[in-house]
Amino acid sequence: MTSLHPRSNDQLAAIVGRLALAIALIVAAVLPLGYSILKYRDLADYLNLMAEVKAGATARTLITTNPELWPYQVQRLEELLSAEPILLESEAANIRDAKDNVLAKMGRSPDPPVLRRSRAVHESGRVVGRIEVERSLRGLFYGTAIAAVLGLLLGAAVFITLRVLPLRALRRVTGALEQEVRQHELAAERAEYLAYYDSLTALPNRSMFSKLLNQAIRLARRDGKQLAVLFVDLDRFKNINDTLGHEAGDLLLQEVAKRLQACLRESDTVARLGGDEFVVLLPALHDVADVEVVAHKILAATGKSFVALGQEFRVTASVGVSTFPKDGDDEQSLMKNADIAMYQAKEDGKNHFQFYSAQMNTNSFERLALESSLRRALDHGEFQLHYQPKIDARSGAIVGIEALLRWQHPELGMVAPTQFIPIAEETGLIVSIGKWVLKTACTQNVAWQKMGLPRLHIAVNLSRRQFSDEGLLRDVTSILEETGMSADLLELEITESTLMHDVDKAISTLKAFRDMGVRLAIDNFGTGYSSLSNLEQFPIDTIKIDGSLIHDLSNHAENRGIAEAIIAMGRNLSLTVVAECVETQAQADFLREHACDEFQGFYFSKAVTADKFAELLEARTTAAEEV
Amino acid sequence: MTAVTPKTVATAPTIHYRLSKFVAVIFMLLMACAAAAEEIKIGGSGAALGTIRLLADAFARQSSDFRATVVPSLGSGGSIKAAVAGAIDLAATARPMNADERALGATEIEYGRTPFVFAVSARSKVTAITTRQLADIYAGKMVNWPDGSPIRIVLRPASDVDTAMVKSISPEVGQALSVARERRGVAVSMSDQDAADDIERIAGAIGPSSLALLISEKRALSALKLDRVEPTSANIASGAYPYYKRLFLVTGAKPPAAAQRFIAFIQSPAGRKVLAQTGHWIP
Repeated sequence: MTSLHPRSNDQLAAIVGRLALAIALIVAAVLPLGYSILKYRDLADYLNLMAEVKAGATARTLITTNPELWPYQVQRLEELLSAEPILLESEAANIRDAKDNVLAKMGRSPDPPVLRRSRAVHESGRVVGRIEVERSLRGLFYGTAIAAVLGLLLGAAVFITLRVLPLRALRRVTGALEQEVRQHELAAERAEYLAYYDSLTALPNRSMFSKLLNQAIRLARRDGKQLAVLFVDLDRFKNINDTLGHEAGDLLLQEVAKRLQACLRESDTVARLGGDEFVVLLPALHDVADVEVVAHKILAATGKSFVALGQEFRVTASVGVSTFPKDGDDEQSLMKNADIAMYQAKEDGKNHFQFYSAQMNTNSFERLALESSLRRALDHGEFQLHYQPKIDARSGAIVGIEALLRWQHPELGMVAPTQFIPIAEETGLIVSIGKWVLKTACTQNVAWQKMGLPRLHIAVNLSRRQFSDEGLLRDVTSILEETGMSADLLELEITESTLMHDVDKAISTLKAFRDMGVRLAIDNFGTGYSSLSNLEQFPIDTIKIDGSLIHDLSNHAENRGIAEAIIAMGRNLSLTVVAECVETQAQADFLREHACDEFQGFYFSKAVTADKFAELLEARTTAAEEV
Repeated sequence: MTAVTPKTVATAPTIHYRLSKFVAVIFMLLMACAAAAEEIKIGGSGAALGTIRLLADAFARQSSDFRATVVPSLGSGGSIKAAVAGAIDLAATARPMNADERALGATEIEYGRTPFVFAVSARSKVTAITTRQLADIYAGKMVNWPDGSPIRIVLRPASDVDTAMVKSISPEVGQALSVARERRGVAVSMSDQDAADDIERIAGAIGPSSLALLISEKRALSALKLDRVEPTSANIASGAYPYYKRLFLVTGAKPPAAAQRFIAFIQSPAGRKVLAQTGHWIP
């Protein structure tokens, strides 16, 4: 609707217009008509009166004096005709006898048309003649013409007043209403736009994409063609938002939107689902290989540097692809599977794309199930700690313990740490789980000591998330106090990559623990990027050579070299060097030969429950005493 | 109106009394018709009518078969028209005929001249006036008589002979008369008689007239000296008083014998005597 009841408006305008015209015409006609009628009557009255007066004067002055001969007194008749009331220039008067002969006349014959009035002249009751007075009506006509002109002007003024002003007022009112309606319409359009489009990038939103995708699926199904859905997620977008601010983040998203559009055909669609998530629809696909081309283009486009708020920076994207009909024949499955593929691409190291596979789906389901269970596991007491001894390389005595987390899922059974630790890390559950681990380990160690077992230091792993948690120091302190375990019996194992993530912060945190008396170990050493110089900075007590290096000692000379170097370096820095995952005699021999301090691994003992560990410790202790 | 009784004609000798009586009756009837044919109707200018009436009476006394009816003033123009039309037998006018009137076949004879005068009431103490005063009176500059009473002018119609006479006195008077005609509430008298009546009737009035009218009609009016000259027939004869009316007798193409006889009487010594007694000078 563009106008408020336009038809009724037009009708009203037409009625007002006709009414105004009718009144204006009446006004325009009334003035000259009224003028002419009144003037005519006035004139007729005047001429009647004049004729009456002159007739009376004539009768009185001449006729009654000389009833038989008065017709001969022409000059005197003329005198009487010209006497008062005086004739005007446009007037004439004459006197006629009973036979209608003109006896005398005064004044020039008026210009036609002429208004004439006469009165009989009496003598002794008999009509002996008549006086006739006439005047030109031209003056009346001229006056009427002027009145007509004035009438037209007045009529026009009336017309304008009656038509234009009310219509203007009407238009003003309807204009305001129309504007209001227009605003409502605009608001509705805006609402509709917002319902289907993303306000930031002007790309279609999830709802619109859903419609388009469903439509594309119907067409592809009908035509027997394929289509592809590409989930595009920017890597580390959160960092940009956090460090450069939301404004920069928004500019980046807008630029990404433009670049994505530039990568696509006109028939393709790119939509923004929210946050840094975009989705691309490639309908009517001839060859799946085309998808790879587009995915490469997208990665290339997003990989180029951006400039926002005067800063240049780079982002990468991860792309997950699902295709119809292979990976799903409806919207939900195509979207879900593209999402899964995208996550897989991220896990695979970001900045690349990944086609969906059925295996991914399984993993994904498992992951979701685990995440859900994990949230309950702590409350349900499903976690356990297993303990693995650290063996002195020379004496073979147990010199330390590593507490290892185990999850006894009620349905799945024992779940491997590699399966659930990343999930706990991502979801943040690791912090509370970590506290539980620390507290349980300390409590157990104190319990063992109370049992009379040897005083051993117990190692607990800290994940990256835990290490960066602001409350870590406080938590450790309170747990040590709570459990009564001596700080020097606690060893915190931190992976090399965790330390390298923020070196300065790591050093300060480590120093704080060192001050408390807590021992510190670098876990999985040898796989990361740390250098010897870095190692020097960290106030650590122990280096644990990564299991992967130990595992391949026999096959890879390179690994042997690294292991040797690590051991040598540790020794130089007066650090205790522990080899993880020692599974064979040969490995143990090699390490012992190169002066590795301690071993840990299946070859000596796998991780066992607290009870079994107590037994093991007791047995070892007894054996040692016997020796 | 003067009526003259017809004289009875003597009867002829008869054969038979009855026949004689019948013839006598027929004769008497014929005589009566003949006597009736002697009666004429006279009209004319008011200035002349008073004198004409006196002349008709005098002629009737002299000629018993003459009877005349003098109708009220028709004015000079009206009476000429009436004479030409045969509505009257004789017109006495105060001006000569114009070419149009002459073309109609009328004939005129000047029978005398009489001073044109400015008249006031006989009761007025005013006896003389000057041309200058006259102009001032008409112009409204002089509005009171020397005794303080208001001056009231009596005018004549524009086409009247008297108006022309006043204008002819001097250009100043002529202009003043035009001014006077524009003044409101000024009496305009249609005829000479009306004017004389108005001057007699209206206190302090002054208006034009003629010496003949004043004398013939024995009006209670005085004729004022103009510029110290008395309006008399002798003074017009001498030229000392230059303002006078020429008086004419006008007849139609075929005037009745009685009219001709009356004209002849007016021109006779008896008629001239009457004219002389009534303020006329016969050139």
